[in-house]
Amino acid sequence: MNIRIKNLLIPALLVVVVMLLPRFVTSSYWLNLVNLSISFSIACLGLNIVLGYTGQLSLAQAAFWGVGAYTSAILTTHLGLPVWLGMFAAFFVAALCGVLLGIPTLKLSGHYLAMATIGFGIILQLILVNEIWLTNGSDGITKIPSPWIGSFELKDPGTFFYVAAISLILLTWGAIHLKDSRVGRAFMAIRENEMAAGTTGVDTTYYKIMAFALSAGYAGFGGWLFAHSCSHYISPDTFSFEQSVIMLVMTVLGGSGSVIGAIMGATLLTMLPEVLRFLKDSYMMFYAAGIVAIMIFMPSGIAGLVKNLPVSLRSRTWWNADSTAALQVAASTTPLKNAEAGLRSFKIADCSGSGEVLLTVKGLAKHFGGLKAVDGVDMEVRRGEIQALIGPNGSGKTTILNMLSGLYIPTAGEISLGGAAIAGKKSHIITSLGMARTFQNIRLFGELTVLENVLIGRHCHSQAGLFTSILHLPSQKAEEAGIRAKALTILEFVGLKGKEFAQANSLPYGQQRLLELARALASEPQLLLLDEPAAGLNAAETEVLVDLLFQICTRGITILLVEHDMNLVMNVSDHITVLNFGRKIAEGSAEEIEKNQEVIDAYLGTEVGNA
Amino acid sequence: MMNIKRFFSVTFLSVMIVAIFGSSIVTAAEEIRIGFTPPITGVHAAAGSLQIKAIKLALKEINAAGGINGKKIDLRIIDSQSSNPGALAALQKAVDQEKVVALIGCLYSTQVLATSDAIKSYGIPTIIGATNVNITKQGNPWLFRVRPDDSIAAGAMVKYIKENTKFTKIGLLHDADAMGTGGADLVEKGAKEAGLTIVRREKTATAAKDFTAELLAMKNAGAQILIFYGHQEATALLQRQIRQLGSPFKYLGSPSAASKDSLNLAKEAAEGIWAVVDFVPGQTDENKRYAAAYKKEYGEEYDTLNVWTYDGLKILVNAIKKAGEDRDKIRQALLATQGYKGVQGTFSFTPNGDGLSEVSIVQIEKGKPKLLKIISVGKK
Amino acid sequence: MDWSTNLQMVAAGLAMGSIYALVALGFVLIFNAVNVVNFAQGEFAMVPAFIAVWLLTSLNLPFALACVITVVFMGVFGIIFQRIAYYPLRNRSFLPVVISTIGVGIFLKNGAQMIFGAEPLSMPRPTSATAVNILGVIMDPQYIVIIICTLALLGFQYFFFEKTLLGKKMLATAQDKQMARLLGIPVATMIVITFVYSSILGAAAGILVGPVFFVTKDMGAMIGLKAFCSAIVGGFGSVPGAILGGVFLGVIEVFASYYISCAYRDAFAFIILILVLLLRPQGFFGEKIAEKA
Repeated sequence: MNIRIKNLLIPALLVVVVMLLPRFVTSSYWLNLVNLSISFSIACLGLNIVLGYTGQLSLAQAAFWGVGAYTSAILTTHLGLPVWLGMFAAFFVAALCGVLLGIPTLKLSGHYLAMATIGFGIILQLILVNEIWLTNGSDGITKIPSPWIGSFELKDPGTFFYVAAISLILLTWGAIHLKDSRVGRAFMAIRENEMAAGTTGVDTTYYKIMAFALSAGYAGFGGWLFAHSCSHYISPDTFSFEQSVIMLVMTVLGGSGSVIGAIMGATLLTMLPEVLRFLKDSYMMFYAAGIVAIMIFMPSGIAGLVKNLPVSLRSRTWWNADSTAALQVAASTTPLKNAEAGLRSFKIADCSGSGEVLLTVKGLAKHFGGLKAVDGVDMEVRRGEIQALIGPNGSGKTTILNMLSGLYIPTAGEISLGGAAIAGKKSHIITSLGMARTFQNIRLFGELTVLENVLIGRHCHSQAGLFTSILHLPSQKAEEAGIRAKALTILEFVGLKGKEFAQANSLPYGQQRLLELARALASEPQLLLLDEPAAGLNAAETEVLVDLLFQICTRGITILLVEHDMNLVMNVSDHITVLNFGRKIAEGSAEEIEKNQEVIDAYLGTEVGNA
Repeated sequence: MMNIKRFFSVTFLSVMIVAIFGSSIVTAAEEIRIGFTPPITGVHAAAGSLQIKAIKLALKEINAAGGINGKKIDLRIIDSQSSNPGALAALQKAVDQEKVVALIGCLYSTQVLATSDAIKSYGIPTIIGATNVNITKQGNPWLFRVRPDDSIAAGAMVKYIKENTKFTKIGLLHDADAMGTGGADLVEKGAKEAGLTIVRREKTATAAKDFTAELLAMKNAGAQILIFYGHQEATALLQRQIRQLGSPFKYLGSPSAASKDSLNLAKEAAEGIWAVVDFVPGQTDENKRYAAAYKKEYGEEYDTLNVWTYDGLKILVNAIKKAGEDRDKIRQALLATQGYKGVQGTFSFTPNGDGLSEVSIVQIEKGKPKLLKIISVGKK
Repeated sequence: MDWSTNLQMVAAGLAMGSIYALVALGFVLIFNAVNVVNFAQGEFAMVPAFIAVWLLTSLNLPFALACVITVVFMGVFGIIFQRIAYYPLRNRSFLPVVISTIGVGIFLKNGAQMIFGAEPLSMPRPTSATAVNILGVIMDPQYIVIIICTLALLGFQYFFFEKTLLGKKMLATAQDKQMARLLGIPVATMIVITFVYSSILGAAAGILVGPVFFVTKDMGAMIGLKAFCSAIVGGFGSVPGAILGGVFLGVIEVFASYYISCAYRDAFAFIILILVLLLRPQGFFGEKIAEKA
């Protein structure tokens, strides 16, 4: 089927369903349940953003839902403001609360984060109960008005459904767009590997807070829907920790990371208690047993199950929002122009290391308590050279790389890259100033595709913000096309052409290293730090690597590598610096280092009993 | 794995289909359907199960006596899940799907408030047990309360302290939920008007178990009598802990303090405490008869807090007998119900829909409430 | 300074804190062994409380016998729980396991309601209900029993983990499963034992606290959450930390309720948690775990 027709088919179908549903379903019982499901779905869409996309476990979603509900309820009842204004207020006040939660919890992850969010949620609920002057306390707020369109009051569930359905469609559309955008990729990078996200150029602090804010905003919107629906009443007991847990279960059941999954999970768990009413008082046990069973047998949730259904490839790609990008790229078969375009276009140098000084390190030190991992090191790296940093295990090589790339704050010393002082700056800033790195233990964004990994590398050189990402404005689309073209060039350069849509985790080890290299190159660095790039590579793969290193160098990128493979080091380096016990013991050309007695002693040890 | 998944999905879908379409069982034409929405699951399940017992007893008696003019009552019990959305869904299911002619609603004020608007737009007569005073002041003519509201209970507490004791310093403790806060607000207001001092007012979290801090605070503020407005479990715990502290003050509790559950839990610690109750068991023929019937049916004593569904169903059926199955006529008949002798007392509905205006102050002796005084408080 | 009031509150805080500590211990043990946060830990205390009540009231067994049977029951329960909620998900990321334990918690709560009814039950007391006066502090004798039993369990725990081979094997498994396997330690068995031990701790908590509060299906919920806070405040993963964290939280709660606000009682545990997470995320006794680049 023609892609264009397919892209129009879904929206058309949705419009038809939305317009016709209240005609066929007239029971206010079912319509109310549908509206309730939509309210939950929107909250779960939000949770999906912070949990599914960004990997931050938040158990406060019901509290934000409540903040939205209360904000609008208070504004529309006490102050008599119009309901539509309440809608915006609900979104923004909840988003603000999300920021308030995000900021103190930045350094937390996993169950620590979960616990902090639980506490936050419980405190918020207690405020709703006790600050009676604001919220009317446990009695709740009555007579919450319905929204008006012109002179038409959307009072009963059937008419309110239109508002709910349209909101859901728009917010879903936004969430889908988000996934396939610069911001969405930044979120997913944080989820996959926060440390690598930082060194790839993603400002993890900013994006984490954004994720919390956006997620809370969605929940707040859902709360607005809840408050103005046919109950016209809210009370604090609805916005409890137990409700946050239910929202979490809905999201994970539907399939964490999947937009449609969040909606399916929310709808299923809202309808399920109704459907199971015939079980009377044992239905909760079936519900709970069902949850456990689904976790065991359907690990990627319902969305995962749907994805794996044995239907033809064409209709299957329907469900995968991320594959729209795949379709677009696959569809464009124009040969890549300017194969060099992705890399820094210096004139091809002869890579001899006679350039000006690019990186200066003075008196660099890192102490961990009593342990002096690095104890006063001075180094220089010249533009266009390949320099190796070697030394026995524990000599401080990786620590220096970590300080250079912003992962550690130096205890003392200065670092300057191309004139800019970078000691103690955050990784993503250093990356944007022109330094990229790879890791000793590969840190890829495992669940993402090869192409997506490299696209994230382009983060510093693209601009799309939240707004443009959600709306997929033409400027954003153009930027995406440009980034994609560059990424493909780089992948071809490192030899991974044809593997663009493979999941990063599925690549063999050697290719994973190449991918990491590609990702680092994508940020157009002036200086590339490689931490044991040859580790685990066989002889053939190492040769490929050496060749690549020369290629990179001839394109004007300076390389500083930490390595143990002496053949590689001697082969490739213009200049070598040797460390031992956190201090520099020698530096020079390969020949000089080979003959240096101190270096030999450090590696091989001195003979006992000799002078 | 695929087979398990397929099996699971198929079973799941079949169950859902059966449930959706099989949920509404047809009623014989010679039956009148009435709905009831207790909390069967969730935090209020305890109260729910007692309400069901009471209403089923009423149902049995009514149907055994021939129902309404020969037609039997078909009672549809739908779980309100102890939550606001649950109560609303239960109401809508009862009216939309089960097509009940009238409804016995919720005990908890928040759930009544959540369903209020829907009740009004459906126009369905609903009997409720919630005691929050604002419920009948909303201008909703379809709500009929068959328990005395909080203003009566709170007013009676204050009146008793003022007129029958020498205490002037009251410590006020209450549950943070709607019932507790509502009741406490009314007590505080009444106390001020009566010239009594509230030396300290504190809220307890609903699930709190250890009240050392609260009790010490009251003691150190000089309270002579502690009024607690809350639920059974907290009441029993408080009484025990007060006794352990050496009973530094007298205790006057809200109706839960004299309920069967609470007395069972507190045991000896409840001896000598005062409470305001909707009614005292064993005072009238009606409640003696009920006590015997309940004991015979369930083998245990009944709980005074959950008799309202019994009275409620009987009052409703009475009205339907007079008015037929038209909802508005039922409503009018309910309003016209005056002097009806129920288990909890004599019901006479005010124009706002309140049925009872009398409470009693009791003292617990040997695990049973002994009547001290009946108080009729003028309603504001 | 009103010493009598303050001492009274310390006593109450210690007792409540001991319960948090016991449940927190259960958390920490399971987490150390299998890196799983067990959201049903509160129910591990609720279920044995119901069993004990039933044994004592319906079957009229003597208290000691009822305790033994309950403990054995919980041991078996631990094995079953491990098999259903943990084992099938042992290789997944921690989120499915979290959800699974949440599901089990809901199942247990509602199962308890189905079997034992929805009304709160009173557990017959092994101690008298008359308060005793110790140094001017009036205490429910059961509180004293709670504190003593918790100390005893602590002692046993220390002895078990530090001095016995089985204890050390369990510790080894918790630290590094692969290595333990290579050394011939039956890792799967160790994990089962961990769950069993954690369940038995729950039994202790449930039986100890049952007489002072009432046994309801919801009794585990808040205790579970606060125990979790305790574990983190004390240093997640540290056994003495869990105990100290629990006691600390128990005492702070009472004092904060008295001096600041009774209504926000539940908030204090979480406020302290958030403060600790902000200022000293490793808690009192935990170790800083730096991510290796």
